[in-house]
Order: sequence, then C-alpha cells, then structure tokens
Amino acid sequence: MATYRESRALSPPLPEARGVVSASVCTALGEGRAVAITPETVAAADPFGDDLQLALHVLYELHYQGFDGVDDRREWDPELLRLRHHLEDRFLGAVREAAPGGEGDTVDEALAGLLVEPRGHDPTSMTHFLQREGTREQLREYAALRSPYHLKEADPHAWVLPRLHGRAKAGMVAVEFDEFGAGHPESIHARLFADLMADLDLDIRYGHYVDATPAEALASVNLMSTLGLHRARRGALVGHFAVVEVTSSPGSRRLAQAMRRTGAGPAAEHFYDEHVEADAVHEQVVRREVVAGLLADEPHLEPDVAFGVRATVLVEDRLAARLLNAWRAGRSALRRPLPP
Amino acid sequence: MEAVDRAGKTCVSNRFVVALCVCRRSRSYPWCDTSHRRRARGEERLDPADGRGARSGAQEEGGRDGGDVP
Repeated sequence: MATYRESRALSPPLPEARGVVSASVCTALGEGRAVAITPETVAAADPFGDDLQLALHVLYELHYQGFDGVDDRREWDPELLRLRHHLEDRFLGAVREAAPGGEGDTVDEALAGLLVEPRGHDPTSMTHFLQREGTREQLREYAALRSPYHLKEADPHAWVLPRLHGRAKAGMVAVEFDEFGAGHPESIHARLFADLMADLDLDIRYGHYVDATPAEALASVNLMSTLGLHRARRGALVGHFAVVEVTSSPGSRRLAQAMRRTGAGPAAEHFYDEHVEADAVHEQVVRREVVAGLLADEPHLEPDVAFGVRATVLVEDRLAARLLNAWRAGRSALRRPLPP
Repeated sequence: MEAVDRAGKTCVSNRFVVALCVCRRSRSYPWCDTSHRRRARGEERLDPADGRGARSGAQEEGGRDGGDVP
C-alpha cells in the first residue's frame, strides 16, 4: 500500500441538496448568507427523509470537519443552531413515536434482546446477508455508506466525556482510548477503516460518498451526533454506545468472513477482526462501568439510557431494511451506484 | 497481559482490559468473542432475555489486566 494520506487532511465540498430544507442550509453556508427557512417548512419535512437528514448532517459536520469554502465560525451561527434545534425535535420526536418505551422502561429490558444471538441464519440481519451471499460490490457499497461514520469512528461519542464523571467517565475514556488507537495513530479505528476502503478500491477522502449515502445511513450518524452534542441527552448517548459495543462483536465476525470470502484484502479483514475481540472487551466495560456507573450516580437517567438503546435499534433496523430490500432486488443500495 | 492455553501456547494482549473465554466456544480463544451468548431463533431475537445476559449467564467475565490469568 502507498504511503497513507490522511482521510481528513482536507474539508469536503458541500454536498448536493436533496430538498428545500437542505438547499437552504447549503446555500446559506456556500454563499455566506443567513439561513432563511420557516418552521412550517421544517414541520412538513419527512423526519426520516433525505432532505431533513442531509440538512442535519451538514449542520453537524460544522462541528467535526467543516466544509471547503465555508467559514469555520458558522459552527456557532445562532440562526443555524435555531434551525438545527427544530430539525432535531422533528427527528427525535419521530424516533420516540416509532420506538416507544413501555411501563417501567429499564435498560436491562432494552438491551436484553441484543444479548441473544439468533440460532442459524437471521433473514432480517444485514451482516448475516453479507456473510452468506454479499458480493464484493455490495461490500463496497456498505463501506461507502458507512464511511460518514467510520471515518470519524467514536468521535460522536467523545462529546459525552465532559458530561460524565467517576466510574462512567473512566470506563468511557478507556474504551475511547482504544478506539483512538491507544496512542498509535496507525491503529485509530478511523484509520483502519480508511485502509479497508483502500483495499476495496474506494476513495478515502472524508465526505466523498455523502451524496451517494441514503437517508437511513445519514440518520444513523445524525442520531449519534444529536445525542452527543446535548448534555441533556447524555443518558441516551450512553445507551447508544452500549448498543454499538454489544452488537459489534458478532456482526464484525460475520463481516470479517464476508471480506475473507470475497478476497477483499488484509486491511479489510483486519478492520472487522480487530472489532471482534476489541468490542467483546468494550461491551463488558460499557455495561459494567459506563452504564452501571452512570445509573449509580444518576438513577433518574435510566429511561433516557433505555431510549438511547431503542432509538439506536430502530435507526439501525431501518438502515438494514433499506439495504436488504435493494440488494435482494438486485439494485444498488446507494443513491447513485459506485463507479466500478 | 499474557495467557497460556492448555497446549502451552502463550497469547499476548495489550488491551487495557481483557475478556477471557471460559465457555470454550470462542473462535478467538483464549479471548472472548461473545460466542457465549444465548441463542434464539431469528423471530425471538428481540424477546427480553433473563436478567443481564452475559452477567447472569456468567460464562464470560471481563477482567482487569493481571486478574484471572492462567
């Protein structure tokens, strides 16, 4: 492999708008003007649709990598923050409606289903599909649409660190330290993913595949960002992290097998092999130290943690359904197919 | 952290915590790969399990470095 060129060396161009809301955000940023949009327009947007999800994605990216030609100070533009607030309410309101908690909503109940593995093949699981019959092209699509997350893997969860203390903080920092390479830049998980993308002949530049990424995959990252950026949602962010770590190990095992079966390459295999073992450890630390530590200190957050778990399962299930529907019908799961 | 398996092979992990396999089902033995999890049919996937899964199942334990090392 050639010398590594950092995926995040540059800020990406603004993506293409997908409707009136995202167009107003992209235009305001691109032309350095104030954003102009009415609350009625936001209220009319599909909370899970391309337009609203892309608008949220662009607004959150101001906090991560920014955009080429956009003033970095727009991150704290009060009008953009006001709009983001409306969009977040619309998105999270719809998530709450679609994934309601029951009476006496506990974290154990919310997580219990995730701690059971299906016996044999699970036809609703995207990783089961990719393990059994995923083609190299489908694995490339999967990597491309996951790249808005994995090229900044664990960054959305780092926002929660100053909001935690004691056991929860120590556990969270320890897991994040591992995610960020434990002192070795070449082992940062985002870097391991860029290496995977190179094995799959994908462009590793940050933001390169956003225009091809479907709303369901943007929603997955937007959920982490909205939970991470609000101190009020620290419980839900911890719930989100628990789902990621609990489900990652067996899912990564299946994806590692898919990479091996299709001859994707050593870095592609390594990314998922590393997550099998690392996340078996992270799961224990997140459940015993981060979740239990947070709830020991702030027991009133239990419904929030449970909501974070349910919200994550909902959003990931919606993404899995989109991908499986497309692939089973022989179609691309992306908004536009990848160049060969 | 070093773990020695029954064949005498030494495995090394540099993780801040290691999860040792004690159910013997791990394909990454001696490290845990979550193979201990209870199995259910696909449609039962989201049914609540008893208690805390791995905690109540107690087949795998995460241990701090220097903990239950063979």
